[in-house]
Amino acid sequence: MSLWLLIPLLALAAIFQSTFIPALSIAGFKLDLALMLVVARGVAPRGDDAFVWGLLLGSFLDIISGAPLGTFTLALTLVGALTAWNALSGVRGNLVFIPAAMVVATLTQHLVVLTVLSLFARPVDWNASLLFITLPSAILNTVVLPVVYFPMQWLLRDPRAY
Amino acid sequence: MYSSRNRTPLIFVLLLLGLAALVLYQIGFLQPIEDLAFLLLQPLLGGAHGLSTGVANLPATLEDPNALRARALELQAQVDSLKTQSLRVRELEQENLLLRQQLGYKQANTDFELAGAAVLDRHPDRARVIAQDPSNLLYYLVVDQGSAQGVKLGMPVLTPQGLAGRVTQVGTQWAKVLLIIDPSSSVNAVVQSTRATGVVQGTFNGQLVIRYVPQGAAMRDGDLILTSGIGGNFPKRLVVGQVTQVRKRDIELFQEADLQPSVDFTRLEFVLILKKFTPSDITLEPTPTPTAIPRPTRTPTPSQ
Repeated sequence: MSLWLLIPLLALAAIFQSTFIPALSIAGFKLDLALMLVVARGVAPRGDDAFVWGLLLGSFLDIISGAPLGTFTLALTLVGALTAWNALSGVRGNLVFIPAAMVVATLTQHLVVLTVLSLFARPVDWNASLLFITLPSAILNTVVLPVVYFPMQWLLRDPRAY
Repeated sequence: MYSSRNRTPLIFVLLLLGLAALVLYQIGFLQPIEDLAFLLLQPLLGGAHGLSTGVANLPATLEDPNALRARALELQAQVDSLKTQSLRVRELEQENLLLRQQLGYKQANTDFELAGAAVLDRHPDRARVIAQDPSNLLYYLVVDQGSAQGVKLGMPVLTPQGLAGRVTQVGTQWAKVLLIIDPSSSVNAVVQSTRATGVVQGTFNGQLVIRYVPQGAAMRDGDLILTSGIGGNFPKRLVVGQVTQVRKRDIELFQEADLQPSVDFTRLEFVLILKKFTPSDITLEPTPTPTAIPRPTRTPTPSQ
């Protein structure tokens, strides 16, 4: 997909994440749409540009978030790089790998955010945050991932779109 | 799209850029970039947030749009008004008690009511909430007022229901507000009925808790918690929340309690930024006679 199309689309996704998603939170938990997009891109065939998606989405989220600037860029670029890792090319598209990737991605993102917060912003209650925020978020993201994954596969299916 | 040979160094460069952004942000070099980004995103954010509020209200709107919206607004206004009245009545009760106890209280009382009522009306600038923090780990808002409108770091942010947070970052046309439910937020507070002091802090999951309330002070479920004004960061007597569960252990110096925030943080559309107030400390006012609480007694347990 052309960068000129990708940038505004991902900017819209970030805006959606910080305006609509909080209004649609489930049991107080906001869906990580941006994270799901990066994972859905990374686990798809030819998803080697997932880290670019992570970089762009992370940059947009950083502008809106109260976390130190660079936190989400770092987290989502890392998630994009992990999901697009060459060693995983054999299992890419596998129906077990996809949810597992979502769980690992949520954990990675939260670990990066919490680490940055503990270094630059405030003390972090690691156990409680990982148990009561990260775990439910990972489950929620995994359950909702198909809603993002399948339309994205359909959207990106045409090789001419690249 | 990217061959693996090109990709690895590129990923490292991008990750380094992320780290560099973190460092530059700490130094404050990235403020102009944030301003520029907000200048571009703000109209979209404002429009999208307005639309999202509409979406959140959709089920009600489908039934009987105009009547239900009008009724909801009317009821909300009534609730707000009754809450304020209830707070004032309780304050007046408190005031009455103090007057009976303290002969010299009358003079101090002139300011008492004025301060409570004027806090919200003095600067009626309403800032529109344009976005919420995208993460489950942080509790921030972005509002559409910045240094161009006179907003400064540390200014308290209120709603008619009570205290919402304080400004932690200011751009030209935007500001980020740290909500009181964020774990990094601390607000000096008092229990309204007994004037016992404590510190209200946010928790990792977006709840409120009041800590460091002396063991001897009476605190019950349903007690209102107000800002104390200690430290001068917030005006006194802003409603923070209501006690829902007190946790007290004999072996500890302090007791603590869970609070129900007075503000519904999930549905914030407009907030008030308090640009000027006279700092004063509620604890310097004459205190009511503390309610006597029975000392915990140990009943000997029969040996097994």
